[in-house]
Amino acid sequence: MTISPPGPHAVPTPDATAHGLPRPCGPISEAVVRALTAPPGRRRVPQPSDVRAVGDPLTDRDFQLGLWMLYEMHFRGFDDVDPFLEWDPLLLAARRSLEMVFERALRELAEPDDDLPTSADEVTTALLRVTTDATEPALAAYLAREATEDQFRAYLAQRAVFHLREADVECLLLARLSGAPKAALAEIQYDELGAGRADRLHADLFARALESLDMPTDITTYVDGADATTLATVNAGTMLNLHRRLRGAAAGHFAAFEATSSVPCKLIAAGADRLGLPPEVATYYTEHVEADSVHEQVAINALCGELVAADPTLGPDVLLGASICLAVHTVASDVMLAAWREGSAPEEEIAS
Amino acid sequence: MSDDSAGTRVSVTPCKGGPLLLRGATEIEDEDGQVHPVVRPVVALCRCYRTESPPWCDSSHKTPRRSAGS
Repeated sequence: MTISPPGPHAVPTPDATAHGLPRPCGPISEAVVRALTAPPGRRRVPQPSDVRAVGDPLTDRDFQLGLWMLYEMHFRGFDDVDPFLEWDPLLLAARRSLEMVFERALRELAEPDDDLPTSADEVTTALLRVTTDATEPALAAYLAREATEDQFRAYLAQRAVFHLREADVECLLLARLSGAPKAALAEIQYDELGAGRADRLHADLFARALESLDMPTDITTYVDGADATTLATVNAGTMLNLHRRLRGAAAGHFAAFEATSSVPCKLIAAGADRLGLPPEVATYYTEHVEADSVHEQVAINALCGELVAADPTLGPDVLLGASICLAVHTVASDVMLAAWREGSAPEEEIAS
Repeated sequence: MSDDSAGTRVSVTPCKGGPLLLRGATEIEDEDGQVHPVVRPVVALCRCYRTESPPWCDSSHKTPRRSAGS
C-alpha cells in the first residue's frame, strides 16, 4: 500500500472517513502524521528536542494529540495507515519519550497522600475517602441546571473521545491480573461490554446518544475538537493500562473513575431532560447511575482490595492511579467550566 | 463470596458504608409487593433509603445529607 504523504501543512478534508487521522496542530503531531503516512524508509518521528520543548504536557494539545495517535495505533488504527507501524521501533521509541514526560507530569499533578498504605483495608478505606471527597461534581451540576444545549453538546463532544472507546483499555489490564482481582474486573467489564448483548455495549449506547442529536459517531471528529486536557484524561488511562508495571495504578485509576460516576451521571441525565434532548441521551447516563454504583463497590473492594491483598507493594500505586484519575478529570472539567462561565465562545458545535 | 460451582446460588455481599451486592438473583420483591427484575450480572441494593431509584443503589449514600424537605 502506498499513499502520498501530506505536506507539513496539509489539512485533511473535514469529511474524513470514520477512522481518518486527526488534523495535526504542532511539531509533534505533525511528525506523527508524517511518520504514519510516509513511504517506508523515509520516516521521521517526533524527536527528543520536540518533546523537550513542551512546557506542560497536560495542557499542550500538540503533545497530547501526538500521543493519542500513537496509542490509537494499538486499538483501531487509521484508514490508509500501514498496520505494521503499530510495532514500529522508531514510533515506539518516540512514544516512550512522550510517555516519560507525561508520567512525570501526572505524578506531580496527583500528589497522593504521604501516608503510604500497607494493607488492603487501608487502600480501600483511602479509595472510599478520596472518591467521596471528589463527589462534588461542579461540571455535572452546571450541566444539570445551567448549561445551554450548545454547551451540553460541547460537553458530549469532549467526552466522546473517552466514551466511544469506553472499557477498551481496561481489557489490557485484565490480561495482567490473576485470581480474585481478575474475576472482579471481568465482572465489571462484562457489564460495560454489554453482558453478552451487542446492543448494550456502553460505547455504542453513547454513539446512539450522539446519533439522536444528529452528531457524528466517528472518533476523529471529536479528537479534532478535543481540548488538550480532554486528550490528557484519555491518554492517562491508556498509559496506565498499557504498561504492566503500572497495573496497580491502572486498577486505582479505574476504581476512582467508577466511584465518581454515579452521582454526576444522575445530574447529567437531569440536564438532558431539562433541555428536552432525545431520550437516548438521558438513557446513556441513567444506565450508568445504577451500573456504576455496582462497579465502584466491586472495583474498590474486590479489584483494588484483592490486588493489594495479594501484593501489598502495589498499594501506593493503586492510590497514585486514583489520584491521577481524579486530578486530570478535575483539570479537564475546570477548563470546560471556565470557558462557559467566562462567556467565551463555546466549543465549536459539531452537529448542525 | 460463596461457592457457586452450579451457577445457581444467590450470594449477598455487604459493602462497608454502602449497598448490598447481590449476585445470582433474578428478581427483587419490595415491601409493597412490587417485583423488580434483575437485569445485570450484579446488582446493588440500597441500604440508606436515600436512593432515587429503589430498590437499587444510586450512590446517594455518598452525597451530603440535605435538610428535610429539600
